[in-house]
Amino acid sequence: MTKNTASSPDLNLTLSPKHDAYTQKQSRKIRDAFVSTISHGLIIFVGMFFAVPFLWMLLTSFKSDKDVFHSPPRWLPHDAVRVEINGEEYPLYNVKTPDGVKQYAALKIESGVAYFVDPAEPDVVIPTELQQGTERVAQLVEEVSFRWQNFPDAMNRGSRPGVGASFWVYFKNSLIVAFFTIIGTLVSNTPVAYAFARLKFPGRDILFVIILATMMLPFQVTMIPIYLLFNDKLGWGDTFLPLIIPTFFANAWDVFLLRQFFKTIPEEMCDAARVDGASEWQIFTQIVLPLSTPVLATITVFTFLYAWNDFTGPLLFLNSPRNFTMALGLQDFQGQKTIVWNQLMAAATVFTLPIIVAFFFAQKTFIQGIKLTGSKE
Amino acid sequence: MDHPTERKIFGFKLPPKTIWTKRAKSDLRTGLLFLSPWLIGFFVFTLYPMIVSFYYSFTIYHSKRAPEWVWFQNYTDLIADDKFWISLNNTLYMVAIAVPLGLFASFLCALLLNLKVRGQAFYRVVYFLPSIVPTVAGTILFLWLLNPQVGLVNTMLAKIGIDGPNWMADPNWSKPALILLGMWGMGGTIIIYLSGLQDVPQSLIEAAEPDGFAHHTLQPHHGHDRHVPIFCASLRGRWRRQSWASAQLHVILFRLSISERLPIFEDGLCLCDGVDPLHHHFDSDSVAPQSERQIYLLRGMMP
Repeated sequence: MTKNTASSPDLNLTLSPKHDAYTQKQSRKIRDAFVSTISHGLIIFVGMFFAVPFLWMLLTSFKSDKDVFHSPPRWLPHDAVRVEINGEEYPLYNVKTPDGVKQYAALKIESGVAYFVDPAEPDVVIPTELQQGTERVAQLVEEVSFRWQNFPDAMNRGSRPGVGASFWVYFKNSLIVAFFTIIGTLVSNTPVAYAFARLKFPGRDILFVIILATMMLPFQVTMIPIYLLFNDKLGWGDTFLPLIIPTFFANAWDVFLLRQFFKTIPEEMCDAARVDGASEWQIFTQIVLPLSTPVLATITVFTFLYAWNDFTGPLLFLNSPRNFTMALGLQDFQGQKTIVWNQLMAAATVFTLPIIVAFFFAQKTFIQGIKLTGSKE
Repeated sequence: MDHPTERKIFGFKLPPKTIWTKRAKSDLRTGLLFLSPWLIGFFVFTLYPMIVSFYYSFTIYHSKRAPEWVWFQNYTDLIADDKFWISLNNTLYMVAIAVPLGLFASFLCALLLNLKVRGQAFYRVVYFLPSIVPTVAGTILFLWLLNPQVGLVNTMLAKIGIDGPNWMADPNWSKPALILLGMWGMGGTIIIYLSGLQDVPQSLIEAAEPDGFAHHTLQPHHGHDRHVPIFCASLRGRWRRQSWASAQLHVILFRLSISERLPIFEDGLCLCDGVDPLHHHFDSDSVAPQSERQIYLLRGMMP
């Protein structure tokens, strides 16, 4: 044995086989705990990058106009404590008086002089110089308070009552576009992917290379002609049709994804059906599709996100505010002259919320889909 | 259909010569029928616009008048235009730095999320959530976070004694800011990598377990090289984000252009689009009375 073990009587014990197993278990436990701590630490550290901006959005959306610009920034939203005096509400201040710090309400503040009253004696007004020497004698009393009013304010702000556009109209438009985009994507991509995955016909491989090649084509290349086609030739400007119709004609990404999945479905199942005289369409609809729910769910989720987030398409084709999707509505809202950050963040939160809710509902199918694809072997 | 001989060109497998039997014809018919949604879409929404785009690039085209053939004038104009080279430079910057960085970072995140720890599901949600925050919301949020004076990032940096940059208003920092914004929303790519990592069959992990590998150290490594398609699939995410990025730009530029407090950064103007020769002579003012935003959009694309 080495010097180390010899000098340590405790460790000598481990040499007996009985204790050996015990210490191994112990050291394994310690190592696992260590690894787990490190893992958690790393995950949380990196996770901050994802979580902090998101939390900041949420917290800002609850802040008052003044609190937004508080320096240094605070995490929790604060608001002035208000007291009622003679039927009206006034902010409360901590005021340094000769008799110590007292809580007074400020009726008004004019050119450096605050007119305080003691809430206990509402009729005695105490005019006070705010800045006495280098000292500021009054400090606003604040408490943690969540300003829910930002949300209705934000929704009203983003609305355009005269032209029939309001937050809920944007919301509805986004839902309509997302719904039909999903339908279109599912209906059109599955048969194409099936043909590439399972059918054998002359020219298939060349067509597959072509469809893969279209992945590399940026939208900007085809954007102007497509715009002219929809807007001028077909007269579909300012409708949802230019956003929805193209999704009914398959796209390379989803075809590729579906094809990869279809290829994992045992060929023997299809062959067995073929022997029984099933047509390709029957095999596709009755065997392959039912087995593909996980990947269909995945595509549904991705397509929903894509449709909901899409900005360029609606920006290009939709003109009138009553047809705006949420993305455009929000952009419209932030384009106003002054930046009201708290309301803007409230609007952004409301915009994000449906997706998060949808995600939590779809998460099971989604993760399950990923897992099922994983256990295909 | 039989595959009698394999023909190859540059290593690509060519389809075997077709023998037009009755069977082959009926196969072709079925195949094309299944492919019809894509075939129609390909001709109408891809091939036709591409050809037309190419044709327009040799013309001066105002949508009200017929295109006027000018040979290579647009191209020579483009080459003579400084903004074209700036935009090309910016695009290369994004391609060379943002894309690899994003892919690498999301792979690392996927490895982290694949560790077997308590609360794994929660962490996954946290990493994924930003990617479903809509473009406009996310961009506005980052404009707020990266606000040079009152933004969270710069005030945090000030706390540890670093004088934060002007971010969006600074040509040198606008691109890193956009990269940050892009990386914030890389949850989709992470998920795709993660699904690739989970693709490792349990049997493989069990087989390696007695070799003294801890569970957590093992799982990532094997998934890594087994799934090339995953890489392709994650590129899909990157690509979609490409259009995302241009949307962010529009939002940012719009914001900047209306608030006089901040200068418009020319550098960023041509960041993502703008290498397309077509738009050079696509006169935005003549495009019917479109809304302000559309004209803005088209202008934004002009190099």
